[in-house]
Amino acid sequence: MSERYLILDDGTVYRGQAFGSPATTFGEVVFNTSATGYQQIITNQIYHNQIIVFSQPSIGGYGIDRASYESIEPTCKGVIVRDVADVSTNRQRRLSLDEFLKIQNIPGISGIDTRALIHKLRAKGTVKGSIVDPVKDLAHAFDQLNAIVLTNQQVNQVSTPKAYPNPGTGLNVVVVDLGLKHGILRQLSQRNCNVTVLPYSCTADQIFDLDPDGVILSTGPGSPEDLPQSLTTMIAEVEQRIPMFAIGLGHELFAMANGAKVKPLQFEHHGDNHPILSIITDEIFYASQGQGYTVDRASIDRNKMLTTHIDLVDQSVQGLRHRDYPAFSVQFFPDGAPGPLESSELFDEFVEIMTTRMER
Amino acid sequence: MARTKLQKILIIGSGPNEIGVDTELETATLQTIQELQANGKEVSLVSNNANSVAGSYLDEQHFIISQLNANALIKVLRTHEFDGIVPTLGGAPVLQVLHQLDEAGIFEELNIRLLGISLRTIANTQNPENLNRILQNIHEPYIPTSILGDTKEVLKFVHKIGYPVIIKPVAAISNSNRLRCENEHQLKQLLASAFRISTTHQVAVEKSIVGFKEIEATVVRDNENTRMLICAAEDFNPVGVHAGDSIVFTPTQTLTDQEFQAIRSSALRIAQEFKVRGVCHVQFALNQATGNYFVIRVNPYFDRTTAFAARATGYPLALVSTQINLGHNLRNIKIPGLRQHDSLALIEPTLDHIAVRFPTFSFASFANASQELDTQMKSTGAVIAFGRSTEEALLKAVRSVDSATTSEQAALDESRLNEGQLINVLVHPTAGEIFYLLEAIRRGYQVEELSELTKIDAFYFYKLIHIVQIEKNLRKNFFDINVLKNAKYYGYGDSQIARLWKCSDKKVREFREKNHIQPTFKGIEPTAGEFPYNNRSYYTTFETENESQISERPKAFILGTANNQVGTNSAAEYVTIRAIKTCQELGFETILINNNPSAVSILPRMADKLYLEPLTVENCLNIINSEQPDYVIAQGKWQIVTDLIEAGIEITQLPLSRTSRAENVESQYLVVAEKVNTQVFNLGCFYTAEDASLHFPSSVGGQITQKIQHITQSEIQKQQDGIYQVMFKQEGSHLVVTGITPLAIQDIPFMTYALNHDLTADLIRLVFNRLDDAAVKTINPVQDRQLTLEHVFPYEQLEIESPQNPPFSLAIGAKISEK
Repeated sequence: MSERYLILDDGTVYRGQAFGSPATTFGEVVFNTSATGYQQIITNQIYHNQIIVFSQPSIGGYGIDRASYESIEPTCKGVIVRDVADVSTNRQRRLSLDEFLKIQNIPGISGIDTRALIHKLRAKGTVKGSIVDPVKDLAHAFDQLNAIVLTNQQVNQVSTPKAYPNPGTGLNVVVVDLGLKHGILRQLSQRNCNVTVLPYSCTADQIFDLDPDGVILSTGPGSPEDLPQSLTTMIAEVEQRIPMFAIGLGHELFAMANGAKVKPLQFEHHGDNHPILSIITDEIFYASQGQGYTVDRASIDRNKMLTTHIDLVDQSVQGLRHRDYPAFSVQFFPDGAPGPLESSELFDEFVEIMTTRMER
Repeated sequence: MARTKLQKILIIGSGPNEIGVDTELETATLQTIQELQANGKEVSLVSNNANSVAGSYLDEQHFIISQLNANALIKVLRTHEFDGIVPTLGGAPVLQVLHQLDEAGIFEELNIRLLGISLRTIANTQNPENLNRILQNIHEPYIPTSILGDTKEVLKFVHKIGYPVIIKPVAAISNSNRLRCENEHQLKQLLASAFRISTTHQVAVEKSIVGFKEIEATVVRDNENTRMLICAAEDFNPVGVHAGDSIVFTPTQTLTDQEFQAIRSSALRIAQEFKVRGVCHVQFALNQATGNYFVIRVNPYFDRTTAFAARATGYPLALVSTQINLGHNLRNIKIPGLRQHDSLALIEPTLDHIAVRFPTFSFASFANASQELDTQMKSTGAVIAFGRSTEEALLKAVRSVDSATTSEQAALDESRLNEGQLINVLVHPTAGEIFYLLEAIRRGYQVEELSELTKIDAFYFYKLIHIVQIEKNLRKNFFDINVLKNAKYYGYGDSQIARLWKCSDKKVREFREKNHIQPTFKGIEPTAGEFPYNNRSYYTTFETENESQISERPKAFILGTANNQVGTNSAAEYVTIRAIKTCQELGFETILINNNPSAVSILPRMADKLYLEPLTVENCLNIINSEQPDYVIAQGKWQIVTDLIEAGIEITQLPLSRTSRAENVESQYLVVAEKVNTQVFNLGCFYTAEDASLHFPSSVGGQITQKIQHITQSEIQKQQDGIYQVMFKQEGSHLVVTGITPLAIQDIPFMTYALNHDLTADLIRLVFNRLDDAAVKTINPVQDRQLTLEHVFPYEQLEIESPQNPPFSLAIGAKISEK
């Protein structure tokens, strides 16, 4: 294995071994603490423009599994790990992680003191980084890193350009793709929904024309502030007429459409070990999280919305429900993949709401 | 009516150590005692474990010495008025006894309630039929079992559950094995003879899960049904080898997220269904071919697995479980260590290290026992090792064993096996299996082939191949810096490298240090670096960041006892704890190195700083170089002590014998005497019976007492300050001194209890010249009771015959009783 460097915008250089693609990439460095599901994490489009550090010291142990894709073409900018397992067989092992990342043109670097790196990321907040070839003079690499302006058009880059169906024989659901995670489609398939996925630029009228029983606003990358205002306008219009379930970035937009503000989190959540309290049932459960932004609790208009879920670690808002319309949202990922499936019943709740409406 | 008051609480202990019972229950017991006491409860422990550390934390009234059978416990319950019992700290045998106590109606009669689990939960989890019935109700897959009376019924049943199956004759005339059948032809053949030898003409039929992957989940549930996963661990060996004899890894190494989440959801559902309050260990068998799992065991109590879960994650399981038993819920429980976020007990542990539990055996001492690994547990102890890669964790575990029990581990030299023998070992795993697997890889066996023969996941063979590749590299490149760097990064020890470079350990160490290849220390904590944590436990690796902060305080570095072996066993652990406490009283920052996952001494409230590292010269020197301790303290002289002295370390050895009391020394009386500043104190006289049991007080008459007193005085006066045992033999009216030796570690816990005096503390204070003789003058030994110490040997468990007078050095535990 050849040597490569991870450089950070504060001037730090980490030496490691290359795996995956030999490309040179730039991205925001974020860490994920999940114990399992490296493939789902790498293929989750919320990591568009980001380089993922795994706190789990060894990944790749079961290669690439056909049932574990969260997008067909992952768009993260790199993978940083202590150790990557060199395996290539087993019932589910078709590609090794290394081979997969080569095909997807994503560079990886192993042999990094990821615990030290995570300590640094926690102290510094957002850090830009780059995985580069080992040249003697890194000045040029650092110049490039410092000069790079990461796009804020992530959703535009990952959302489907054209509508497509995911047929079923049950309820009709429109999914607005903001950087869709396949877990959402999987959950809807399990409930036999007839799904139409629309680009993020879709209008309220386009949705109404499809006459759906419900609308899902998907997960996605980046800040909701960077998205066109037409999105929140669309949400405000649709929520009045059609049951709505919003997840992740969709949740943030749903909150904004109803007057709340969204702010960056001081300590981002990427993992699945935070306890989440459901205020209505007073139950505590765990769910997969991947968020750099959060709904500002103080900004929520209590006459319009009520908070349904909070993260017990930092009291951040994890769920909202509209008081007047059949619309609700969660910050975490109720579809797991990877992570606990305790909250997948939210999809049942959504199906129930849609069914009740339909029957009325 | 249940008593509302919950003030006086009894913990039922686990009894002496044996195979399958290390000190893990003692560890959880001590934590529970401390937590209950901190909540103002009056706590008692009943046990017959002579080496009980937990007992040593209680006074005479609260450490109740008793057998642990139903009759004896009824007596205990009647004489004390307990409000509640903690039933989860004595392992499975205690649950059986509780069932008997319940049948006797004692709980209702005395108004005593059980904490944590109900009698119903016990009955439902411990009785296989109940367990399967409930699992069926909640649609959790279980191992189908049925007792059937004719071939047709069997075939019908097997048709439903599928091959392979295991059949066993019910109430057989002769000894009968469980027989595995792969197909109908074989089944019909075996059934004929099975029915014939069954006195009831019945066979038990169950689905065979031999070869499935074994996964162990540890979960916690509170009183309002909040549940969390603490740890999921994966066994290296498939079902068929006792989980206690398998290498175990956490985090799981080969599970997809789907498999992992299925097991997690199942474990949480089971904790709910069985109404567990506190800790619960659920064991699964996973069929790798289909991804389907089966629930094979539900243990709603502390055991080996929960101990590993607590140590590997750094999550204070016993503390949290006790709080739940007291009626608190997870959302309100705070745990020490986390610096922010209200120290939330609810954050599910996630790791940035790999921890491995590695079994150790004592077959060198029991040469005629079968070393083949099967469903009967055979290991006498285990080590825990931490690393940042699978290879590193595994290699550290292997070298822990190397140094502690090399000669014991591999009775066979793997390099001398012929192919047939090697294949035989691969198919029928034996103690020290890993050495044979490595040898097979050296000989060019392929991954698929090995995986097929052993049913071990191919993943591990890739890791072993990597280990062998590094080995080959080392063999080819003597004193090559890059090769060495890489070997250290993946966990090779200096001694392992020295063997390949055919030089001394010292030479490797010096070469390494000259080239600045130095270890770093990383914290062991349950949040993978996500939250700031006050670390107390560390392990070494070869990376960039060093987290171990060195204090300015005077330091005592204490060598722990490593894996449990026959001989010193849990008594050494007892001495370690007393040594830590005394050093703390003397103002030292105590720093401990240990690697027994069940050890009491590695608990959070013990040493100020803990290194969970192999007890090797290299790892000790790493710590000594970093900490610069004022003293390095060892219990007597053993291999590592000799090696460290050779490496130039000055060691303060507590004058203790690591062999035993009186092997080959005939005696009837044994006097423990202490010399401090020219004064000799006779602490007490024991009687040593012919069957090697030890009794106190000795029922010796007046004149002899005086003689013994007199002889002891004059003999010990000639010795240096210290504590001695003087052995006497009576020959007619004469008393002959047959031996004067330092105290034997094996006897210290019993002697400490009998004499009601902390002998270890005196030894340490003597070493530091800080012993006040007033403390020795006023000792107050047990008077009104007759105490007996008997050793416990593993012969029966290893299925071999016990010799007439087995040597103490082969004892695995010790029993205390009183009259």
